Amino acid sequence: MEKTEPPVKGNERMMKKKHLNEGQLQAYLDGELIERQEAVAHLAGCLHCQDLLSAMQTRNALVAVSMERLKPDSFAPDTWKAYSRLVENILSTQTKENKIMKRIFAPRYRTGWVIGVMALLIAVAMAFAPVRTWANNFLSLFRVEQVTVIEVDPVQLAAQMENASVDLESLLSTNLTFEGSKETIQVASADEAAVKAGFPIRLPSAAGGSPELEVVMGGKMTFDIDLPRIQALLQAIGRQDLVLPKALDGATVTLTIPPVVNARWWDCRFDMEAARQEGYDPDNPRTFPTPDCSSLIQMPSPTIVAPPGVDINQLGEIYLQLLGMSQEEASDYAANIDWTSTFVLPLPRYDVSYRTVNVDGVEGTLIQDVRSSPHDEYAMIIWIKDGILYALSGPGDVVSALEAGNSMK
Amino acid sequence: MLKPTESIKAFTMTGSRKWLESEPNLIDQKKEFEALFEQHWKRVWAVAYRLVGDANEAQDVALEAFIRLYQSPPNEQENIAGWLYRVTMRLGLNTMRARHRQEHYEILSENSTVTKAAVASPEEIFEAQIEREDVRRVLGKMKPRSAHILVLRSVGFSYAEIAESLAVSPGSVGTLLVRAQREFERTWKKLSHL
Repeated sequence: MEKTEPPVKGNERMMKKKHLNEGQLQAYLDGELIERQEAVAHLAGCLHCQDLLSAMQTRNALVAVSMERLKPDSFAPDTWKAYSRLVENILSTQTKENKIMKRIFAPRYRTGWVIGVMALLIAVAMAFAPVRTWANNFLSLFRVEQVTVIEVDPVQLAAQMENASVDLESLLSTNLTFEGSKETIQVASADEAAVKAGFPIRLPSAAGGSPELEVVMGGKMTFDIDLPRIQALLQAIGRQDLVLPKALDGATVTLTIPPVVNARWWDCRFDMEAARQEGYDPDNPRTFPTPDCSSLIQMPSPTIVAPPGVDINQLGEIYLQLLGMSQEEASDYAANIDWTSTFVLPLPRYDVSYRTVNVDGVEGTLIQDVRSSPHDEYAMIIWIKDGILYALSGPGDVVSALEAGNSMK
Repeated sequence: MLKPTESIKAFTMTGSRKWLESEPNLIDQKKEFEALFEQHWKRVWAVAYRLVGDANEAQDVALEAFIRLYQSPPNEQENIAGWLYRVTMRLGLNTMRARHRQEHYEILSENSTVTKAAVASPEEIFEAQIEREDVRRVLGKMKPRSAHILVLRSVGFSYAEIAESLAVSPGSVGTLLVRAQREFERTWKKLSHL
């Protein structure tokens, strides 16, 4: 205990008028208060602060005793042994993670990735159909008007999904029906594409040249929700803590997928057979050469019709938890989203960076592969304008991606 | 300025001695990264241990934090140590929560006699039986920032170090600790159904 000094003039204010706040008292208890002597002097004559201090001591004791229980009963592993393990691990994860990233961004998957995002949107919407109850209490409509991003751990998610892939396939094959055409039609011009697709086609003039154009006709997908099977699926991925609302069971969700127009510049085709003969490993797209290929996908926002009477926020929360958020985080986050119009796009944490950009006169999301080297940069911009969703992707830096996006005509 | 990515690249490319000799900068960076590891390893491990409760698992979590430092280091303005401990906390909390989820066990065990804590005196608390896993359960339910500050303090961080790690002024650490302790007590009561 420090020697208590008699109050001197300079301490008068602190002593008489200004009580110590809890933060100062805590610092005092921890031996971290800079004005310690003044505090000691004040405490000696202030019952108010003494009471506060003793109340705090109880809480401090609870926390101290509790945290004490977590102390290690062994020493930390040797620093240099750990360091050599670190180097080993880095070398091995490098290959593994590059594989995942390169797979996502590999040339032959690039288009697939965007379609994959849409498919994910569909899958998500089916399982977590957000609903707006209409006066007639029939059906509700959901339309993507904006995209927002959350970060997920790709390795963890991939592991979860692996456990469930068989169940998921059988679930989708028995409960999902598709009417329409998955056919891809090659077209010669933007006008022809517009006639086939039924909406005006816009292209970035900065891209120059004439892109290859194709139209995927789309159709209507219907999914009957089989709650016990979905619940079993969640169990398979170790998430039995997530419980879907009973109201969903037996409900039918209909997703209308509008025609998708894909424009591609330069050579996007990837000849798998030729690559294999040349010795490329099909499971390791990292080894594939990167063609100079950019693409612009455009489609009217898909719509989803789902049964009414479902708590949107609750479903959103479950979705976010499934993606790795804690219950509290998910609940905070879910409360701030308009689920009827927002698609929450999961992106692999640490592997890609994203930010909001102004593009084509609206706000869009720019996504970049942070792992790529400067000469192998790859960027994608997603935005929605006048009800049409655009995803522009290709090699090159942000500046050229934005230039292209801003030259839409 | 330390660029861990470059340093570790230099380190993993030791195959060519000649090449290293011609790049004195990279040798410096390698040394810098090693110094960073040496300086923080034990405490990073200690932070991880408090959350996962197993020496090997703590090593995995701690190494993962350094791997992330290598793979996507914070930008130059950010405090590297602060970043490192935040990442460690997050990884540790994730590991811990995943285990709690599997255990399906969301309330505190009856072995913890501290459920009377709300009305107990410090002396009674010191005598109470507190189950380790209960403490972790409480930390897992708290705001990550609050859990973070309690763990750093218990590992022996000074106020100045905590301030650096949380990017706050040293003067506000006391107040943040008070808040975190309140939250700890509140969460404890909630999980004990008091």
